[in-house]
Amino acid sequence: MAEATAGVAAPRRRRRRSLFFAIGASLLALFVFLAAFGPLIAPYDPYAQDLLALLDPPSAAHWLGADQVGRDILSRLIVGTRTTLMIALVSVALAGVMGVALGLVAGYFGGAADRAITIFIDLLLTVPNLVLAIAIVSAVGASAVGLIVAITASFVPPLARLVRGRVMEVREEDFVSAVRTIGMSRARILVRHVLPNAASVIVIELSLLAGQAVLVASALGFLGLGVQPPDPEWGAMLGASRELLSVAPHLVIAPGLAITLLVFAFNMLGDGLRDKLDPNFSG
Amino acid sequence: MNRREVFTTIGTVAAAGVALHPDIRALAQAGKETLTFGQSTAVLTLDPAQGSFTGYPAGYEAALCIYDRLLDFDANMKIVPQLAESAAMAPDLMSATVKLRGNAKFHDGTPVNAAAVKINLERLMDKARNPTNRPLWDPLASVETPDERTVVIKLKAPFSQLPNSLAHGSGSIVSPAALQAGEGNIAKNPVGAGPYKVASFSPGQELVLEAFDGYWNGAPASKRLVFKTISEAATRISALRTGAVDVIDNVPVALVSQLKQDPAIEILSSPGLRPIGFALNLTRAPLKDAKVRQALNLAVPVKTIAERVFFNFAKAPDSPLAFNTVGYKSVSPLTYDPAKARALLAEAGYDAQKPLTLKLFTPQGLFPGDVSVAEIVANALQQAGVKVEITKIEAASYWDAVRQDAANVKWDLAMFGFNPSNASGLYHLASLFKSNADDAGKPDVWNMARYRNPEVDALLKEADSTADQAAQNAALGKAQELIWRDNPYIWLQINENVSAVRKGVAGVEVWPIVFTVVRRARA
Repeated sequence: MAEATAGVAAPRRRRRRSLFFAIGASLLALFVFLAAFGPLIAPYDPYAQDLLALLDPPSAAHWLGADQVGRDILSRLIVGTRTTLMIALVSVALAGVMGVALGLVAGYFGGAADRAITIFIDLLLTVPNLVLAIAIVSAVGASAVGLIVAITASFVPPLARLVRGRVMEVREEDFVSAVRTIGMSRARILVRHVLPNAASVIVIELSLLAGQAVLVASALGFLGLGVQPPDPEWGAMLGASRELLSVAPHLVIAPGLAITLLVFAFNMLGDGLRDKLDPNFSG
Repeated sequence: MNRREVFTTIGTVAAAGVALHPDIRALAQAGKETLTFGQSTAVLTLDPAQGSFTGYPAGYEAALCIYDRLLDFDANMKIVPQLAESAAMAPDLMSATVKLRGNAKFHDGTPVNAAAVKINLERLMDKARNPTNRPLWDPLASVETPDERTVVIKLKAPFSQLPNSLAHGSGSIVSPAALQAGEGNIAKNPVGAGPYKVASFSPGQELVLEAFDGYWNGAPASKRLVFKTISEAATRISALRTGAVDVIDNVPVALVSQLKQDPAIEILSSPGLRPIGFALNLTRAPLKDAKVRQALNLAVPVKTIAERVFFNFAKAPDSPLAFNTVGYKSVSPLTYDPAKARALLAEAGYDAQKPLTLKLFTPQGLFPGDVSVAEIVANALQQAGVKVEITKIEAASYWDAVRQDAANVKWDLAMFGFNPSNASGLYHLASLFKSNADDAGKPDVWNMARYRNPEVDALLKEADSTADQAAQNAALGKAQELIWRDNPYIWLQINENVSAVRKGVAGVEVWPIVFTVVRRARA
């Protein structure tokens, strides 16, 4: 009976998951498009101030209203997409390279290298990633580069640990022992046989981390540790206007919604990818 | 009473309760013995001579309740007696004779006598203390105590402003017995002679004061005062709306009109004494050029900032001093003329090919609308062809970032506003525009621009050396004209101080110097 139910439900679940994937991917495509062509699409110059329109609510002239110095919020959101997306993707890519390298080395070679890397990772993991990011950005300085460094550093440890675990599993598989016995070089084994088998886990984790990166970047921007004014950045837009929430809610709602949608897109994509790529995951 | 009767009775009482609700609430409020003040800044230390009540202005606001001073200000910043019955300056302004009242006691029961005052004044004269208050206390040479109730203050040079120093918050008189128990004690366990004594103090969070029964001027209006730090404006406002606090300071002006619609809330405001502007780093070559400085001032739409950003709760200045400062003289209104600004910059040798580039520092959350104003100024300067890079600095680290040795100054324009917390225009001008002893070091007080004009120095000295108010004002007036023409700042706006109370709260004073004073308030 239970088997029969599962048999009926599984395809439906799979369909639903492909739908998630499609939603995530298309939302993300939209954001990527905005990031690429934002300055061309934006109805206004995102830096142009119209002090007479200051705090104006949404209208035909300003679809999402004007901010506290009279700039068009829609234009700032659109142009700010590039900053947020760039920070998220670059830091996740960097974290990916470093985390995967550390995880591969630790997981495959074991021994002293593994112990050293594990201790280092565990140390960093004891600090919550937002706190770690705040500390790093305070040291490096508030700027897009500072944000990337901070987010990268806070994402390397969880990724390295994940990769290490997966590699340790793969290392013990028969096909790895087989290529080892025929005398294939370690580097080749790692790249040709171990890495591809860990790839699905890595890709899924990276897409989920990208969503987190958006959140951390926005949080740091909200705290005033992000890009410097007058550059548009979603978190900073939120932070600068939180005081005005009760009189000019449009200042907060628009960037809040943008952040939510982008994080949602990455998470949907991650979930969808997991179902597509991870054969072990079916629940 | 059967069950039905019981329910009827409960029903009646409940109905009466609902009907009487407003009156019950009024009654409860009238009987309230505690007044709670939600402050935007935090009380961190309470030693008047060490760190000058860091956490400006919260520390001062609390200190006014705990400590009395020799002289006091009323709500209009007029100097009135407090622990001193009288304070008379000698005609040559080289000394002052202070007569103490006989009935004042410290919270620990010891009397406020001449010896106690001497110990306090000598503490304040110590140059190692309170670097930013030095102009107030450096002119003192020595303190003599001919008898128990008489203090004679000798001065190094004529110093007409002595009464302002004695009334300034840093002139708070501390119990010598408490000082003996350990210098460090005072900051956390202050013992003064003011109307309230400290019941408990968690620095940065909450300070609870209790009425001091032995106060020389009778029991204060409230039994207890609670100072709570609520740095977020929206949280402060909702705390006031729900009645969690009775008074709040620093209401963002954009929220005033909405808050006014709440029948339970009353807005209190007063024109401020703190002109906000951007100090120009005069050690930088381009900013040494008077034409450039004039151009920067012409490029900023100050009137629009006051009207639009501050909803008319601000005014553009027409002198280096705010309108209500003692000694203020109207010099000339600021004009907005971007075309002329461009022309002047071109004359100075800057154009699109070779633009002037300036680094602008702004704090976040230290001055009203600081980041917005910085963005507007940057934009306005850009319109005039000046390239501006903004650096936004968190409020707590701002002072350190801007008040540096000349070699470590990273800014060309730094937002600043000086609040003359003794209402004296002379103190204000001397703190900001008197030449530093050494421009390479940190500014002596707040002359961060490193402005240097011997004529201004001479006029300030002249004002200090005359007891004649008219002569003093004339000297100050001339100094204001010179400074105004030299443009060591980009002048911006003078904000009103806006606080709010729950209806029914009486006696809260909003002083022009940004202090919200609850010393005489009751809920």
